[in-house]
Amino acid sequence: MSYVDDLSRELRRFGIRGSLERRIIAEMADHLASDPSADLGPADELARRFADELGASRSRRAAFAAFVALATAGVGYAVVTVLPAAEARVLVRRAGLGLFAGLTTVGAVALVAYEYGAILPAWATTLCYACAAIGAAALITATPAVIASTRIRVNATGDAGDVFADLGALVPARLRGRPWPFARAVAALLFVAVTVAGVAQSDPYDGALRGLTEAVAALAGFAVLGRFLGLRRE
Amino acid sequence: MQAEALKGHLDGLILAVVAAGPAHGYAIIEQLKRRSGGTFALPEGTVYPALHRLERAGLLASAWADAGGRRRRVYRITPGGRRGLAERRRDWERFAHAVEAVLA
Repeated sequence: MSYVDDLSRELRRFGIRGSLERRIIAEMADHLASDPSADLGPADELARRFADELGASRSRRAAFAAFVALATAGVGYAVVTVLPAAEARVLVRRAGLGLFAGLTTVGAVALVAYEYGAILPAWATTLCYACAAIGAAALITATPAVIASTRIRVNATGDAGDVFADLGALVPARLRGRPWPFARAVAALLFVAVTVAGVAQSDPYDGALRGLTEAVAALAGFAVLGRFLGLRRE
Repeated sequence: MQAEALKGHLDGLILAVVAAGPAHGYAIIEQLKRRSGGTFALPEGTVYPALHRLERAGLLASAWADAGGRRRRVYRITPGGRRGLAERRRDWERFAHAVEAVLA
């Protein structure tokens, strides 16, 4: 078996397939044709280096594509670096959950338009359906990128970080490194924001009730999914 | 020079070579060796993943070219890559100046 055959097998083992695999093999074959004595290193090591470099960039792009599709800007596009395997896994989970939440949201928007179509203005119903369709199309387009990122096995060591690694200086200094006080502060902000919205709609009691529900849901989500999504370490 | 010592500077070195003119991977490796007087004889296995990463970061672009019946991937620097290179040059000058001042 030749070196490029070994490399092809190792690339597939690390989840690098299709056009990317063919491109890498073609480049290495060209390199070996230019210098038959070239030492590219063991095929598995070279494949692992490609996976480490590319696994990180694919995970970040998949997560970014999912959030752009949800039209919730605010995800910084990090310069691609080699991420620890744990962090790469967390990014994929977030992207997957983001896709699921996004599809659920656009489905809910379409359902609202359907249920309340009789009492909404025609333009509002049309806008709801259009936004749901555009959102769904964007999310479905992002799905192959998320799936592709799950195939690449990253091997760099290190931990996944937490919400403080994500937000950096945005977190007030007295809350940094304290996940549960931070979560309670976020829940409190949610309560205030939703209550104020209720006051603005002349229904403060309903606003406070919904605010309390949102705050409890946020804390519950942090408790149940916090470690899975790399928001807290323990 | 040990590959570990070069790790933090590899991107800048690659960008500097490609900035001089489009080149394929083998030529980039040879240019690094030649321009450094043989000091930077990098393992080929470290350069190609870096080329792919730089392309995904938008600092390089590449395309297939025909080279005597063989398909060859040729890399060229992008405007973003030129800005990245200028930044890395400034960082290196600051670093080298500081090291010289301490070692003097």
